[in-house]
Amino acid sequence: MKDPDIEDGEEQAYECFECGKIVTATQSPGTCPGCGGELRNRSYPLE
Amino acid sequence: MASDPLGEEPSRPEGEHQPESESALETARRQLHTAAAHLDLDGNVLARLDHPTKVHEVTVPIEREDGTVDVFTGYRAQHDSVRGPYKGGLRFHPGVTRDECVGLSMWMTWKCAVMDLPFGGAKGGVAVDPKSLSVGEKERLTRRFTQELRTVIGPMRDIPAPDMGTDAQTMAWLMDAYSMQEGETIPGVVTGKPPIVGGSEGRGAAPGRSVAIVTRAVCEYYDRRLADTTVAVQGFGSVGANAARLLDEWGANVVAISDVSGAMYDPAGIDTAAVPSHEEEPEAVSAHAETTISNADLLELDVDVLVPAAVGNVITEANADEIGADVVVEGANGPTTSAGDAILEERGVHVIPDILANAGGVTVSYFEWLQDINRRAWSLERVNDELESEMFAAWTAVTDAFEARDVSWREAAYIVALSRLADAHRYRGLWP
Repeated sequence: MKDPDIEDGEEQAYECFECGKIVTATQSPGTCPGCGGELRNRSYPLE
Repeated sequence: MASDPLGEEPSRPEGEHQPESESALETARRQLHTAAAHLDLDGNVLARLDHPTKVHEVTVPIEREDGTVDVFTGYRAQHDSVRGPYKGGLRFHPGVTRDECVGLSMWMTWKCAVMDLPFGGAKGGVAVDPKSLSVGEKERLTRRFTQELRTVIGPMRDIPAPDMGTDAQTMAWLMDAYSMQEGETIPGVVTGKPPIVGGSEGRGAAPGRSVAIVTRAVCEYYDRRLADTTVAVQGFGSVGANAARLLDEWGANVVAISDVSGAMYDPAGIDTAAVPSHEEEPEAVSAHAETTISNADLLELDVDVLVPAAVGNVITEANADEIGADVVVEGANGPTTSAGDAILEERGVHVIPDILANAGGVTVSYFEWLQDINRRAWSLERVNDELESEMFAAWTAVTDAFEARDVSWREAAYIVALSRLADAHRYRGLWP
């Protein structure tokens, strides 16, 4: 499987594992602004 | 998944000349033939595994926000289902091609087989830049793509999952589109869903947890007490942070961690729980560090275990001679190139391959599928307990092959996978 090279400062999409909210930002917001849940950088495969 | 195996016959005639970047399909086929050579595999079975069972190519038209219609191309490669339904991610990425899907589907076959999951391998996607889509366009793309694939996916046929550019919401749309057309709610058609519609607890931490479990196992195998083991982890995202924190919690001495901006190094040990992961606070690693080093220097630290958990192709022909660790546990997919791997093997560095080490992700996907078809959710504690059991079983099988055949850990993992696939093909036979 090929993971992408992540450039610092590049806009990324993050998904919340708890509520599914998607946040697009150049820097991770840390936790989900909606529910405080854990975020995943959507650029990475899960399996 | 592994960027390369030790493509080795005894003298490794090809290994010396492997290109640093071969296609996913070329790598997957090379891995197959390498493992097959160790197994005296039936040539008829090898011939079948050399090709995907089916590759679906579909046209996916969607209406854009301005009323125009754009047409995209989607793929679903289904490699082998002798052990169960096809399983693998769906990616939305401009670089998606037919051959890439085929190669990645083969890797999923090996990964599921080494974990002894009752799945075969698949991979698919749409050649599109997801950043160019509005939310509505992405939903329409997902639903139309699902409709085009509807007859070839399903909980007992082929179970997609999130991958690059897709997420839990994408999977929820897919599940809804499939369910509406089938006339009943079928959560088991896809994994990686939000928990409220059948997703599993523990999926986010699963790959990092499996990396930690395998690291602990390999330390035990080489009679190395975790308390006396130094660990360097490159990448403090989901995989690296979870692996580092668990190893720290279990008593290992994590001396270096890193994110894209640099590495924190403390020979006395780092309190990993006190450092936010890259996704919790970007660049926290270097911000919290008293001593920083570069990511390249982290790879060459004189530690017992190195966990490359950031991106692929970081251990190459250029730096493999400088790797200071005795053991490398591949947390990322394909962190070691073919040439780098050959050098590490010659130097006696043990490399635990990604298809085993980070298989926690697909294993928890299996748990989600079980929960969906049984209509009963598991607690996080149960997910973690079952993951530990599955990882231990896979580790034991790979260890048996490693000891019985005098091969590398990577070869042992592929041998376990291929022998299971070959046995299944032999029992089922070829019909019609």
